[in-house]
Amino acid sequence: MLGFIVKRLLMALPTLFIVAVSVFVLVRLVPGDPASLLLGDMATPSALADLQRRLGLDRSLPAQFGIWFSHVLQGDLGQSITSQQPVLPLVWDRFLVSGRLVIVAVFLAVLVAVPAGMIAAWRQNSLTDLVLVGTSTLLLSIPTFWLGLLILLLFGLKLGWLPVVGHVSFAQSPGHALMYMIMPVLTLFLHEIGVVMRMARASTLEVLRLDYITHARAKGLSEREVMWRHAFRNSFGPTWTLIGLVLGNLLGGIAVVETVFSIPGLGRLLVDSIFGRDYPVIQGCLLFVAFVYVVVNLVVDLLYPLFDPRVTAS
Amino acid sequence: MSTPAAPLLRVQDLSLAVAHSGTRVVDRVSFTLQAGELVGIVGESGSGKTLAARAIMGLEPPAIRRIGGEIEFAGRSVPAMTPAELRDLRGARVGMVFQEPMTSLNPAMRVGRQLEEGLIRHTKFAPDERRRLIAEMLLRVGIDADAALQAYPHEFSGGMRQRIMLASVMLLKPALLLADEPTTALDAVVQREVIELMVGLARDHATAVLMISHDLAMVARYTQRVIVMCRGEIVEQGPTEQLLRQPQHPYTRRLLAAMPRRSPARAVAAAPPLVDVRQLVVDYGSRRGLFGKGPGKRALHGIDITIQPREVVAVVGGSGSGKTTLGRAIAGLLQPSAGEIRFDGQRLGTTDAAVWRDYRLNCQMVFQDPNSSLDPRMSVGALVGEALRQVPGLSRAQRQARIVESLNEVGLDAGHASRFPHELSGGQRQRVAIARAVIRRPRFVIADEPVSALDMTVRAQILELFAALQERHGFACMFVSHDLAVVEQVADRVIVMQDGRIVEQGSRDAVFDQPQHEYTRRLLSAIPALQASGDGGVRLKWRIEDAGTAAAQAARPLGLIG
Amino acid sequence: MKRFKRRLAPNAWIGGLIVGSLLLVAGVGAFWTPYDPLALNFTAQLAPPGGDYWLGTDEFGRDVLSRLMVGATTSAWISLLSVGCAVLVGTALGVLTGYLRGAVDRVIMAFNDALMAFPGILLALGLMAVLGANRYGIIGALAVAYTPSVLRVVRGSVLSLREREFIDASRVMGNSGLFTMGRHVLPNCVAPLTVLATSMFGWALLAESALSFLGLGVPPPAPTWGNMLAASRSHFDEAVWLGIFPGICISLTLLGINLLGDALRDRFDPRMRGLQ
Repeated sequence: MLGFIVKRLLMALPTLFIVAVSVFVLVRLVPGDPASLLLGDMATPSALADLQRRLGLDRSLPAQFGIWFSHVLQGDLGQSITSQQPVLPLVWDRFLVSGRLVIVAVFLAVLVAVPAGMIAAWRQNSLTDLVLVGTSTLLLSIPTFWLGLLILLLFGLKLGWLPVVGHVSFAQSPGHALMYMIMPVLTLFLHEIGVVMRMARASTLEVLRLDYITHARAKGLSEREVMWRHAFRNSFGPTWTLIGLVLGNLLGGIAVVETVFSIPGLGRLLVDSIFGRDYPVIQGCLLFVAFVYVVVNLVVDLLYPLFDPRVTAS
Repeated sequence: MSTPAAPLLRVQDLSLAVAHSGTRVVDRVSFTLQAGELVGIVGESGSGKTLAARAIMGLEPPAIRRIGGEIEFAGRSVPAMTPAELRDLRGARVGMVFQEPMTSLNPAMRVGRQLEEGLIRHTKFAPDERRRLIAEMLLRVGIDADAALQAYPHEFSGGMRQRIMLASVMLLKPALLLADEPTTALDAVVQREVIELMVGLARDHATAVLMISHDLAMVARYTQRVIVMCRGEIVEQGPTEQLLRQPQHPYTRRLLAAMPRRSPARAVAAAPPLVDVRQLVVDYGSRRGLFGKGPGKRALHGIDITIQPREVVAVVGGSGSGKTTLGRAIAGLLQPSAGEIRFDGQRLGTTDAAVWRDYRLNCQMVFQDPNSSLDPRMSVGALVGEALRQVPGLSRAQRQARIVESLNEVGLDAGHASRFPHELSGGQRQRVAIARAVIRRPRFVIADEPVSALDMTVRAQILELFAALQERHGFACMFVSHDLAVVEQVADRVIVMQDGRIVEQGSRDAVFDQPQHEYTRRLLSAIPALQASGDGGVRLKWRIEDAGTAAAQAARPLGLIG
Repeated sequence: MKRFKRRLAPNAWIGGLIVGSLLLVAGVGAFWTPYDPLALNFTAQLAPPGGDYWLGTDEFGRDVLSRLMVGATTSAWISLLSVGCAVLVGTALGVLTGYLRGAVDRVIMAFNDALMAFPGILLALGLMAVLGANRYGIIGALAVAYTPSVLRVVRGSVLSLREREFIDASRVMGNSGLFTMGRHVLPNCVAPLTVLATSMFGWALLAESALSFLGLGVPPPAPTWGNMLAASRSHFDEAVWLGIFPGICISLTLLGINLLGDALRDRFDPRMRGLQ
């Protein structure tokens, strides 16, 4: 077991390293002098020269990477051109905003979708199954930005129940913050139900075909006991892996929902910085999100043996 | 005997059909079972035997419906039971053992817990009483209780998992045990141990056993009555020995005729060996390039074999014996770590392309799984014709002619050439594989378990075909198998392997009648010796397994049991 | 082909119908639309659906239907190109790594895993920052973003096919390794690849719409469903139809692709499982 944990941790390190290399190379691909890219058009010649020296632009590319990487490891991701603030705290704050939405939405979606998927599999080809599958397919076919627009239209504009624009942080007023969260979370929630339910249904179907399910029935267990004690744990594995992928995807894809609801989140930060050619922030966002994604998948993998003890053996 | 008691199980005119198409899969099946009786149901694939058995517990798959007939267990009608009553029935009164040990235990639940589940459901024992019962039962089935309780199923081998399954079922002391192909997926030696265990447990608790199997020999050995099913119907039933000796129904006769039996011994002309293997060593992880850690596992420890032209040499052993590895190494699919292989006097090194080309033309292979050995995207004609690619100087018309000729040889016709593998039956697919192997008239064919995946009657046909082709074309053959009964029918010489080494070899008659090695004797004790009885039936004799000296064994004829 | 004798599931019919219609409209839209999608017409601004303009007009008097049709063409074209590139490169690399294994495999897979460490649209966004926010940038970004998935699937297929006995049979027959790959391995990869390609077509369509919605995709005035939705936001009160129709188009198309993908997966899967 310990060997499994250590092995998995070690496997993550090269990935993180190559991610760092990729982000570094990506930004260097942009034509132009890296220093002026990072400082913007308004930089003074002395500031430029200063930065050029700090970045080691006169040295070889690997050396430059080394310098940059060591800065990154110390938490120094540079400074935003547009706002002159250090990048890491900026990214972190935005991440908290986005992360809150994502986690709540996915959590609720899993709570609903996994039982729904299992029921659909249990009653395969019945009307219940057809309705559930149809609903989930429909939900995941609707793009989140349009769904968000429709929800905004309905609850915000036409019915006027919920505030349309903006965001209030928890620190200021929890009650208000929640109200502002409802619509974006609802949007993400509806979309992810579709995604998760399909996987839950598919993996439950796979498991129900196996002999140990029939064996459990042959012991005289009730259907509920069979589904919960035998089917659930064994079928949850692929869904669990999917959750990791979904969380990661949403960290990037949430940009569209944040745009619809004007939420100052991480996605919006990235998009704005692309428009503004704010390369330090672009770099910071990419690095940060990829890092979080690797960590999330690592945690997902480490907890996988809970659902399938066989993975530790190989 | 005394007045007949009411039967424990009474099945009357049971009919099952596929729900949406109405096709009958079980048709008016009727039989009874007394308390404590051991009855076998024998049939090939599609006979409906498994479905009939599952219906007894109400466990038919959702796609199957009961459309008629009655099932009575201990006087009560099973189909009329409420779900709650059915749940009380299952496990406590009727238990079931499944075929596939890999998938019949929940991989995510500890063994101890799985064993406890049935007890919790059906009995009112206190926790320590339950633990005591479980430990006792595990001991009875030969599993170390302390280690087992906290372990997960994947930590055990197939045979041990089957024992755990038996323990789990017999803990509840059911009155009836349904054993659905309980040993099919196991090794020959392990099979026998598990079956004996099962029968022993049944006797301990006076449990009636309904044994479902395609293995007629095994069923014949342990049961008092036999039911023969074919295409959903019962064609014949009766006391085992009598049914075997005087089969009435044509299908039963066919089944009995299909059981492998010793063919007359052939004299093979002495000649310089066609295939000469010396000190062959194969290691896992010995493919090109290093694998990192160490030499890996040794699969073959210095094997010496020779095969004469026109000779059929059988290589037998259980899983892990190395027989398949040997076949693949000789076929050139594996790189040996040491030793040499000579074909027709020429040494097969890796350098000489001409030697390899010649070898490839002359050495062909038939594989075990007809599903996996034919490219699903190619038509039969293309599959067989592909073998002719390397043969120079054939015009298109000549190629076509050869393909049709080959198909005819294996019992298929020209029309089959345009079909695809998934449109053919298992037996037909294997015929295609054989056609592909012999179309180039090779001088040496390696057959790796060519009939293991086939039904018994089909198996007999394919073996006959193979023998006929071998007679006609005169190729030498290396026949790899785990099934000694099949080997008895086809082989001239037999080589027995265990753990990567040859433990015995000799002529077929010598090995079968006077086995020297203990492992050979164990293997032989699992298969019957057939004697034809007058009326188209057979009499089965079983060899006893004995650790006596070779001399004592040689002095004693076949032990007669049953 | 003879093997497709089994009747197609309703999934496939509906999905196929929808996708077919999309492609048809996209094809037509390349050559003809009821009105010029770019023509400004200040006399007919924000006209509601009905009458001359079946689906209404936008704030510049441009016909919504025509713009939707051309949008279909653009989106379809971008998606096809990006998926096509990803499939070509991914298959080539997948076959290479699956066949060669060893050091080559490990290096390529390390990079592949690193690329996959960037969740979906993030990679596309990052690449757009470098390549520029226009249709060629999108095609390039999406092609790079999807290649790892193709590589993984093809490599996985190749690795599992290598263990099948018909590969051994081909070698024993005397066929070279290269011939075996081409004749036996590659054709059997087509099935899972087709399923994946269908799904990817949907992802690409969605990604392009999302990027255009964000303003990073096809720039106006060229219409694409995504940027039409973005523009509709400022006119929700007066012209709600501007926000409805493009959304319906995207959703319907994705629905069709998903249904088709499901049907394909169902058809190919049991076959791959070894012909029960």
